[in-house]
Amino acid sequence: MKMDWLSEKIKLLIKNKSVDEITLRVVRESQNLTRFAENHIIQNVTKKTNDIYITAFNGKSTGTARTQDTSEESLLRNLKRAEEIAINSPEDPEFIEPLEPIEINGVDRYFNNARDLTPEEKAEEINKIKKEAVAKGMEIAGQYLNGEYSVGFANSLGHIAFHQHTLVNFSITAMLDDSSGYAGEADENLDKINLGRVADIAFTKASLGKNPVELTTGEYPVILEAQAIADFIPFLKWMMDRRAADEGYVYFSGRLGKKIASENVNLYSDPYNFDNPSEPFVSENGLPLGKIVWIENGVLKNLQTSRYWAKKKNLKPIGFATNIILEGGKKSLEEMIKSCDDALLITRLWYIRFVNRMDLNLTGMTRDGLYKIKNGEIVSAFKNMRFNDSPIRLLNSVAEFGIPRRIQGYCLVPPVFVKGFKLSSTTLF
Amino acid sequence: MKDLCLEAMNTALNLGVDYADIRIINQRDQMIVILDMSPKQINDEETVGFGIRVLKNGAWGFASASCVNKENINSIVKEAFQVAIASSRTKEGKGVILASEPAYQDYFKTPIEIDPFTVNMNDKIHLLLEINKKILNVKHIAKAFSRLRVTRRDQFFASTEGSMVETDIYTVSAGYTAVSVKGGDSQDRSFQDYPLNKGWEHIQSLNLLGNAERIAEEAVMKIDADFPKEGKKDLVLDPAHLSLTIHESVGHATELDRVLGYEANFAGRSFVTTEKKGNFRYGSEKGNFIADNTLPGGLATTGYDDEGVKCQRWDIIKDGIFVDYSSTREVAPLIGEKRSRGSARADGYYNMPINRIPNLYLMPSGDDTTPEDLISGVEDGILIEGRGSFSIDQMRLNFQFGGDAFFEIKNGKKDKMLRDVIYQSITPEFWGNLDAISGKDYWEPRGFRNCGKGEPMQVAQMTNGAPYARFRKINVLRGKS
Repeated sequence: MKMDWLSEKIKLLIKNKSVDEITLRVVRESQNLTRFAENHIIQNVTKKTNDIYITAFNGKSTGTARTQDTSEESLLRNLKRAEEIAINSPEDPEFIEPLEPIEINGVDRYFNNARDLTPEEKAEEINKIKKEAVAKGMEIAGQYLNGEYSVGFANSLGHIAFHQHTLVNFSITAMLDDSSGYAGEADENLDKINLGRVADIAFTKASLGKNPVELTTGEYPVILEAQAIADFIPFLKWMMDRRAADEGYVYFSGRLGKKIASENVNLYSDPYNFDNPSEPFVSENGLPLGKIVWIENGVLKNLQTSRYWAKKKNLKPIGFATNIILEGGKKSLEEMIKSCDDALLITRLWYIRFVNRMDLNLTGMTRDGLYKIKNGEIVSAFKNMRFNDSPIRLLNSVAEFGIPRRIQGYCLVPPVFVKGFKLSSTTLF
Repeated sequence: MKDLCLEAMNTALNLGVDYADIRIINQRDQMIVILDMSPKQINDEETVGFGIRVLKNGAWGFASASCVNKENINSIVKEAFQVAIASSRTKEGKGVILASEPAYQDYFKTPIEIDPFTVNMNDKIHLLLEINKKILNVKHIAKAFSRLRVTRRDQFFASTEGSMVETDIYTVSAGYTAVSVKGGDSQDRSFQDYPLNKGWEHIQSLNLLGNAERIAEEAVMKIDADFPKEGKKDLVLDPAHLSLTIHESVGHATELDRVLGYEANFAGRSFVTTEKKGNFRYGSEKGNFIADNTLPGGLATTGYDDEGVKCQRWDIIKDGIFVDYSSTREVAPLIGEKRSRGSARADGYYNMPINRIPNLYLMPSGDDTTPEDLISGVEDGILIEGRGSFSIDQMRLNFQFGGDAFFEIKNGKKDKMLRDVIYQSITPEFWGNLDAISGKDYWEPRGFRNCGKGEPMQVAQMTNGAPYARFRKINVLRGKS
């Protein structure tokens, strides 16, 4: 799918529509996934999908039909289905018209090297890493994914938006009898991914994790690696909704413009950020996205605001952002560890869930590497722990930020040294 | 469709595959979501496509496409074949050897009384609007959120071993949530989504509208409720709540692919290692867990799984002792099993089947024990209804659960409402503290349509039924700071 295809298809739908307005949204994926475990490839999958959503607007009613068939016959049949739903549906008291045309600058992050990587090439690379793992007496599991993705939006008022990008995502878990280590890298450009570097980190972490002992529950000074921060911080952003805040059922109620984090905390989103680019519009309605500052010097500056809520409250709509950027510092993770006297190091967090949305209390587990840092060195490992803590409390107890790293092609976040992180129970490994 | 399946299998055999199968799927979903009185989603969706799995030199290749025609199918078979050859480069030993399974020619359809797609879309929307109206009429309610989904998945499966099976599966579900706001605080209470493989008659049986006001009133009551006193307490858990605890701490823990390390990079492994089979005490002798993909209405009751294995019923835990895993044709032979337990499921035509939790349930007691009987045996405890926050470690040991509603139990009586209760335990310790179970009249086939596993994540559905059950001395904490 390209912009031309989108333009041609919306014209076809406009010509055949019998309702007031229509929108067309297309999400296309062409993905090659290689999964490995127990030192061999367990899945090698090529996947091609086209999801086409046609929404009909009839008065103040809407209806949506979805298909994966791109033929003209299918598009027209699904247009009729969407129209039937809209015609027979009750009026929506929160109805919002489709957007008028707005220019959206593109984000160019399409790399042929990521698209063209073959299953054979990936198998070769995995084989090399497997040999290294076997020599170290380790077992490996992981994934090596590549593909091209595109999303297009067009409506009958003439608004049209299109974005495509590639992605390579490699991650690996190295395992010994009583320890494991995890590492991963993701980018649109294959040249930015270094499989050997990723594997080495996982191998080192597994070695450092040997002979773990039980840790007493309590509050500890902790360095959370960038991966752990990327696991944790999105939960904060998902709750940053203006309507929910105004209606009083999230933590952010009454806090806009107030200090909610340490003064050194700056959190924002920006699809045009060179180091962490993302989709520059909301795929559901084509609303453009720009740089939005969420927290500036610890003060809550903005909340996501739907088009409906913006109109009702006379505000500017702020779309659900497609990336997260937490400003960092100048030290590498290794330098942070060296300058630390006594703390824990957490590699990754797992199975995080909200416990209470009013204080943003979350729970989850440490995973694939929980270590003790003493006098600037990793000296031992602990069995994994459950945490019960809030990202707000964490962002109020920041002692130091490290250099940001891009995680999962979505977050650009640093490792963070926090003065206190609450660990509530232990597990058996 | 049968001709296309045969075409694909002939092409695969001509290429020299060791084994191949094809799934051609035509799925229709209707999804309605209403927030307050605003229809946020009124969708009618169709998904058509096919996936082909090829085994060559002991390694898998898989390819899929959405355009179902002869030319495309032949091209995708060849693509899957090439991918299998690439996979074989890291093969260990002999590679994949499939457990044997007879070839079937069969047709299975979910027994339904009322086809949910014959029910007018507008009637479905109005049902949800009525629910939300009732919820929003209750003082201090800020939000009402209701949802309904009906699905039909028609799948043709064929293999180079001669199977040709059509499965025509219907699933329906509905539920809603009320959010209260009062004095700068907020709580919510839900009519938990209750999915089954049935027709519209299941939605009619739920009394969705009749419970809306009570659910909303309890959402408000929760705000004024006391926090729990922390410490060891006895818990009585209702079926809707316990279904999730079973799902996380027994269902996922006994998936054989996890045990063997297939999900080590993301979804995780399991503490239920293979030497534990047949001798590990998982919990008290009261605990009998059955896997049953023939359960009427069960979400995994599909006649055959996604690699053509006939659905079965077997013991997972018997009298508290771990007995068997769920498995697929690939992993079953790795522990010496001759036959797969038929637990291979794929999310759509575009994913490769993986080992999933079957319909899995805790058996009710053999007597007529009531929930009140369980409560009467508790001096200091909590009754938990419905699901709330949930989290478990990647080996399925340390877990923490919340709930949807909590009632204090004092001296054998259900007492005042509580709020923000969470409990923590370790799987075998928790099930070891199971000391009483209600009878079959209080057993419910609760389940999930959105169980996540795999990398990238695949979604699957299964029923995890439960009666009421009582657990002694579980660590209770306060979930709000």
